[in-house]
Amino acid sequence: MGAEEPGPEPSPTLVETAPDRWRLRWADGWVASLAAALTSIVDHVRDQPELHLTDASGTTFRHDELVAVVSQSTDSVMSAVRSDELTTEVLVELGASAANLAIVANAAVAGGEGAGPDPLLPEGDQRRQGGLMAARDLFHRMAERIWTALDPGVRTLDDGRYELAWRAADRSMVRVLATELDRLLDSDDPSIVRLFPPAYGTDAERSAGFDALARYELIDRRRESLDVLRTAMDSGPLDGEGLAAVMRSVNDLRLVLGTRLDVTEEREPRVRLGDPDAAAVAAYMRLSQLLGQIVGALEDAGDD
Amino acid sequence: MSELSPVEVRNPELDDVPDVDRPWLVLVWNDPINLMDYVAFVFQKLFGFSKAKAHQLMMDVHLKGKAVVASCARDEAERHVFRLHEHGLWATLQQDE
Repeated sequence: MGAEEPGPEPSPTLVETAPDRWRLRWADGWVASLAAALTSIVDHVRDQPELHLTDASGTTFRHDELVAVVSQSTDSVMSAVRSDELTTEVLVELGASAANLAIVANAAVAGGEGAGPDPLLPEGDQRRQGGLMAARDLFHRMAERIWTALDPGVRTLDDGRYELAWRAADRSMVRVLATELDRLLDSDDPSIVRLFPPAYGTDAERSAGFDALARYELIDRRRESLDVLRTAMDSGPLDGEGLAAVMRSVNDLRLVLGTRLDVTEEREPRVRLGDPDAAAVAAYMRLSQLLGQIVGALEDAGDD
Repeated sequence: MSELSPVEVRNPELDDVPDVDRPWLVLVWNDPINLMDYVAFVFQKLFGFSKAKAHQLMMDVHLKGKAVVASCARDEAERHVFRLHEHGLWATLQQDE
């Protein structure tokens, strides 16, 4: 199965109390961890004048620039902790600050990729490295939490219906793939093999008998779900049944892409520069994320 | 192989008579594409399992390669397999041994 790492307890929780109004709820002990994390980053950056950082785009930050980033991000985090409510704009800034702090902490850990501090270091340095790792993980989690809240994929409305909060790029990607799947459903293309497994396993004769009866109905159901998906992208909210149809179709698209990309238990797809499959891999990963958001919304409804 | 080796006698007509006493099992097999949360949710939705039971069955599929999700009459088992295929899961049915 495609594994999703079980994440640590996501804190803080974020609730949208009104349009453009967000409330952060801090778990017990979280503010103390936050203060400790900030202290370990600020102290480390201050004590290491040779520290610099090159980000993913290749831009290098000198020490004085890092000090400025850390100080600005610390202010933003501290003011969020003191606020009862945040606007979306402030929340976006908080997410960026948390991400910055996670990046600086990660650079300061200096090669400490493992789960804990390097046991070969002197005790004081081990403690410092452990503190920086905890800070990195804490701010990484916080940034992730904020981005997920701002981009939920599926929003549950007060009347219990659901709204797809998809990006324009999602819509065009899904539209292209849905049109293609619609066309492939009647074919014997190898990429749709996962949509019609042999019902009797190795018993080919009985499997063929089942297929003769079931395939056209399965194709019809898949087309109906694809229609719901395509309509949903241009129109208003969906009820639970509609969202379940969207869920099945999004999974069908993943199954076709995953088959084509030859996804295996050992080989999770990763986007690599220059890879001719890069676009398909990116679509597969995004569809996986959207599917997770849909399942989350439907599960939350079931919990009530 | 010598002429004296035992031979299994197969009577196709008799073998086709269904053994009504043995139930049919619905199996779901591990696959590398379906997401764990999705599989557990489909189990809850189609079979009315609790969250805990659905999660346990999903983990059986993931770790042991397969799990039995239903044991019933053949026509009912076929309907379950249909619904599981509709949801993109790799499901099969076979008679209990």
